Amino acid sequence: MSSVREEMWKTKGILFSFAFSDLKVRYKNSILGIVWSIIEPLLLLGVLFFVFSTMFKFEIENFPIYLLLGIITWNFFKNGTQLALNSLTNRSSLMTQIYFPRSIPAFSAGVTSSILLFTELIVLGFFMIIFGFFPPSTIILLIPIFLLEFILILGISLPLSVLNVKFKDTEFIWGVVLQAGFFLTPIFYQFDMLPDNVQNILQFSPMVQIVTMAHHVTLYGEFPPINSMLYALFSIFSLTLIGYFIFRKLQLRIVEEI
Amino acid sequence: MSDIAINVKHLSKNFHLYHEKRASIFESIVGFFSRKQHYEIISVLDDISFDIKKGEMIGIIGKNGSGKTTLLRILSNIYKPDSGFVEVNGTIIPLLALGLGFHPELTAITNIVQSSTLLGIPKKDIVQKIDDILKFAELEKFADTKIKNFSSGMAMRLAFSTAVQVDPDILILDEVFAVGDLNFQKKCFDTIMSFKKRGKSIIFVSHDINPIRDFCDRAIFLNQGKIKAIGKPEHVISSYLSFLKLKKSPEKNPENNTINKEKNIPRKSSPVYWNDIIPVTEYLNKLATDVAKISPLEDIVNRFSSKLPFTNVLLLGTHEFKTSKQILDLGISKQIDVVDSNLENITNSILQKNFLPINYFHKDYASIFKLNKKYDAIFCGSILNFIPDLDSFFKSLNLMLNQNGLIFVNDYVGPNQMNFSEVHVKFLEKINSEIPEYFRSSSTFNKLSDPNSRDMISHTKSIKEVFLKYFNLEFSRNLNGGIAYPILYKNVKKFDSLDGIKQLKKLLKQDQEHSEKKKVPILFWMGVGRHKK
Repeated sequence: MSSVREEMWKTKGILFSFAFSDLKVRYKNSILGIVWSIIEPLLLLGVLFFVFSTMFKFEIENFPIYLLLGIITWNFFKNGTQLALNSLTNRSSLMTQIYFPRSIPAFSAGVTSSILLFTELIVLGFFMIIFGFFPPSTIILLIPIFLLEFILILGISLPLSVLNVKFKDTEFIWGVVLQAGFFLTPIFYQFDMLPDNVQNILQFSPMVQIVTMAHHVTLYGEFPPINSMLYALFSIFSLTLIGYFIFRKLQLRIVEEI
Repeated sequence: MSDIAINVKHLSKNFHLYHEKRASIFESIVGFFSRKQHYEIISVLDDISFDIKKGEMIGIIGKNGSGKTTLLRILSNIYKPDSGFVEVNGTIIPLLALGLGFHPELTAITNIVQSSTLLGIPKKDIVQKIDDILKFAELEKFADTKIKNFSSGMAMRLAFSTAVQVDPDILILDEVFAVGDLNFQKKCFDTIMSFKKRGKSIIFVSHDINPIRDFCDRAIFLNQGKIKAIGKPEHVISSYLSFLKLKKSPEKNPENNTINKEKNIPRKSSPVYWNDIIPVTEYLNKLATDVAKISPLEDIVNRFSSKLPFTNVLLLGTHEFKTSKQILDLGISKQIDVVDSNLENITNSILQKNFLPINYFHKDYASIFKLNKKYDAIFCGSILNFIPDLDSFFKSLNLMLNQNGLIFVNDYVGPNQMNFSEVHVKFLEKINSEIPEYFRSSSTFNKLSDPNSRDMISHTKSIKEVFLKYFNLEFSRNLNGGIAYPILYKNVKKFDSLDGIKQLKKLLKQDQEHSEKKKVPILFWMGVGRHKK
């Protein structure tokens, strides 16, 4: 049926239109515009590098690249979920005036954060050149890893976007979760550095596994450990499933809640 | 394809009315354990069924909270119905709450593109139409301005012109004309009419009854989620009005849109609207300078103060809403019966609080005569030219006047409206071209230029003669003025901005000069009479 195709086409149009307006609004009135998406992780990199290589004397091979890759992978998650968090509340007036599928804003937040991810990856490329680091061929596996992360972002974004309409404190709680997540994810340290019992708990965190896998394929030229893959697949699949059901239940009356 | 555009069957919708809204997760958890039901289910729409044909324009009326907006939102797929079903054939564009979902931080063009995309129009199609949209909205200069810097009128214009350029099969208009200026309103109505001609359906919601009566094929009167009346606009409107009249508890709905809407119209404490040329000029002066001189009604108060207050008064006329208010305000009478030819005035009055001592009748002069009531005073606004048999009309009025009662008459007597000379018609057309929106609803002007639609009977000069047959003349005066006065002043309230008033003043002055030069005869005659045996 052509009407199904039309519907798909329409949805695609809305998706990119939202992603586009998200970016525009995000960098409104700023002189540097999208350049901020590069400066921000670089500044963070500078601080973390200074703190952990000179003060704590971490001995991690290719530490700047290790750090930057971790930050970028984490930022993808952070940007995606944070954009999605407010994607429906920011469009409250729109929702009362025009119908569009309620999942679109969360999806478009994922697209926006993917664009940001892309610009950050370019910076990573420059860093590799500067530090004379030649990536192994397994780096190509970053693509499926980021795809997996994209699914995770969607799985969390969908319920977050509707929950934030219903409960205003979702935003604050999520802020705390992200803050904690940043420290509980091996971005500026290696997962092995943690005590065993902590490792046992944290291995269920999908972001821990994703960052670990990214480090493996980029820096060590190894396939990600099979454990990591299984844990990641399991946790992402179950989170996304739960998220989807929450979303499905809550989205029905969401406009009335606004 | 069937010729049904929208089919609604047994549609119901409930809302959760939260008594203590749990806006935070903590409250929600506490509330969950306390096991108290924290919301009440209220039925917003209850078993609604109707259909809309292609090429049909349907008006929906009802008080605030009657379910109008909810119904529109369900038709637009924004709310999901709880039961029943809605079938929509074709693309539907809702213009709800003055917008098309515009984002305040984005520019006009970006918003046009985004909204059209949301409505399912491919981007490449809409890009071609952007110029047309901006041109229609008269916003070419603001193409790159952010919506947050737009006035509500500008945003409405942009939304409307985007919606019509997208060319949907069904257009939903919810109170869209509450903000636009008159010029644009006319443009909108023209567009809507051409839409209708092309077989598109329009759903029109308004608190203003006039456009619904004038333009819609059918109307629906919604009350508390149920269809109270559906059918010919005239019937539906009158059942709405009689409903409003029955319901004498204005406090129950303090924020009524009709009243809010009236805020647009500058209404100082006691402007005068009795049919005289002087009050118009007075009113304008007052708006401009805030100083008012004496008005004809105040004149009456002064002249006949020994007889005041009257115990009961009959007011006959057109657009007499403000006059009736003033009769009360000036203490001329405590009780008024009003027969008005204008439905909107009646609604306005009924919706207005503290109007309880007024009884309203719509156009129904005969029923007044059947009441066998006697009045202390009768005021006749400019209706005399609409009464076919002036003789029996005055005769009946004479019978309704108390022994010492007074009748006040004021109407157009000069040149026969159907016999305007070529020069006059030309002059009116010139004014018309300067402020076309002004004449859109002015039936008088239509009659001038269209001989087929002349439903007004002209007694003109004979009014005075017939009056003298049935009443003893107490006092009278002729009111001279320009040829366009009767049309211009009738719509004076439409000039609701300072610029509009300036424009009107200019036109009135031109008109007067013109008339003096051409020696236009007496236009108005005001007479005060006494019961004659």
